[in-house]
Amino acid sequence: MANKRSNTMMKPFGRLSITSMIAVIGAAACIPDAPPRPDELRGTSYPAPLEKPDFSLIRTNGDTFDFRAETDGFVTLLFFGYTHCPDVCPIHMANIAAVLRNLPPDVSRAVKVVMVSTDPDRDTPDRFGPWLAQFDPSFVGLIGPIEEVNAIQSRLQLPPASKYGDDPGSYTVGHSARVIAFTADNRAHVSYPFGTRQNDWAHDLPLLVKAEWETR
Amino acid sequence: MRLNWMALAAAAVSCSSPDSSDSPAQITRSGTLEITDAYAPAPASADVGSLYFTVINHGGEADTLVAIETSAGGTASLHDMVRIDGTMRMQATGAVEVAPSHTLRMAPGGYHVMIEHVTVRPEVGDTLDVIVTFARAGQVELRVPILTYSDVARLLEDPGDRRH
Ligand SMILES: [Cu+2]
Repeated sequence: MANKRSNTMMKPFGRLSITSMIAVIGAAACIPDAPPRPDELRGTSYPAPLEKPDFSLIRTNGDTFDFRAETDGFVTLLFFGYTHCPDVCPIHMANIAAVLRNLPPDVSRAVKVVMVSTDPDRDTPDRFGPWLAQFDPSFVGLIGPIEEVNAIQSRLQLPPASKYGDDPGSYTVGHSARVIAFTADNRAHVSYPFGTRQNDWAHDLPLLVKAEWETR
Repeated sequence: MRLNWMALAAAAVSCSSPDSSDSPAQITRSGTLEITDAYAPAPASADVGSLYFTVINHGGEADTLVAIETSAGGTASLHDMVRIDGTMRMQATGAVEVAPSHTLRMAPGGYHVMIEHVTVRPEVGDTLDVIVTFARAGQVELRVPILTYSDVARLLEDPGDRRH
């Protein structure tokens, strides 16, 4: 459904989206379970899909988490943030958790949420684990050296996180507020900026789960 | 629409008044100031929380929000969100002026009151007592409901494009 908002959201990639839209509309006509067209999704479409990165970081429970292997076949929402953030980070996590609770189980079970800390100095497993679990105990929290975290972000076309201030009690961390959505084809076709609302997630997640993405 | 929402949240003052028709928010008046849409999410950690409200200046003179105190203890200060090179970062604003016929709207991703070094962590269902000090209007007391983050997000999302 084309609407004002999805057009607005596509503005950054306006020209490219129109080109790719025409290509996909052609394909959609003959394939029944075709991937959603960019204009059917409320997220921001990538001009070229992102490959799912291969990395391992430590989970808040102490296990090593091999991102590519552990999320294979799932719709995976990847977000970078920190627990001293009282606004952007908890709002994103709470919105996604609330929507997953209300979606049919066949959809919500197909979605994994992974948050990587951009503040490993303060986000100890003891702090980050319960912080994330209060939104949804299935959410995966990952911790690693900030250089490694920023290298992963750079592979995903995200800006590095940066620290402002020195006081350990009150420094802030600037970071991307974008949630990247990988689909079962292990690529990301779309991402979600801050401001994505619960009804946007509720609209897009079933489409992302049910679409049969072209496998190569 | 999303861009309006971002603009609303990011702009110091805007001329629109929020649609609070479906929210249980109390309206507090002090002189020519009206405060609406006051909500606080139950803090996600023991030490850091946030609080949102909207100030509408119906008067003919500017007023300035100079200080905030809450019953959660610690320090409370107005923050806004700076967007640089694809990142979002909050920073303290200091005192903020609300011009005549203008609105200071706090909402996720924009202005918020940041509560640091929380000493009394409020829970969902509790009420946060808040004292907001304005240069002209003086102290205004608010009783702010503590909700889940999810409910706060729903209540404060873009009022211009509510679907459900
Ligand atoms: Cu803040």
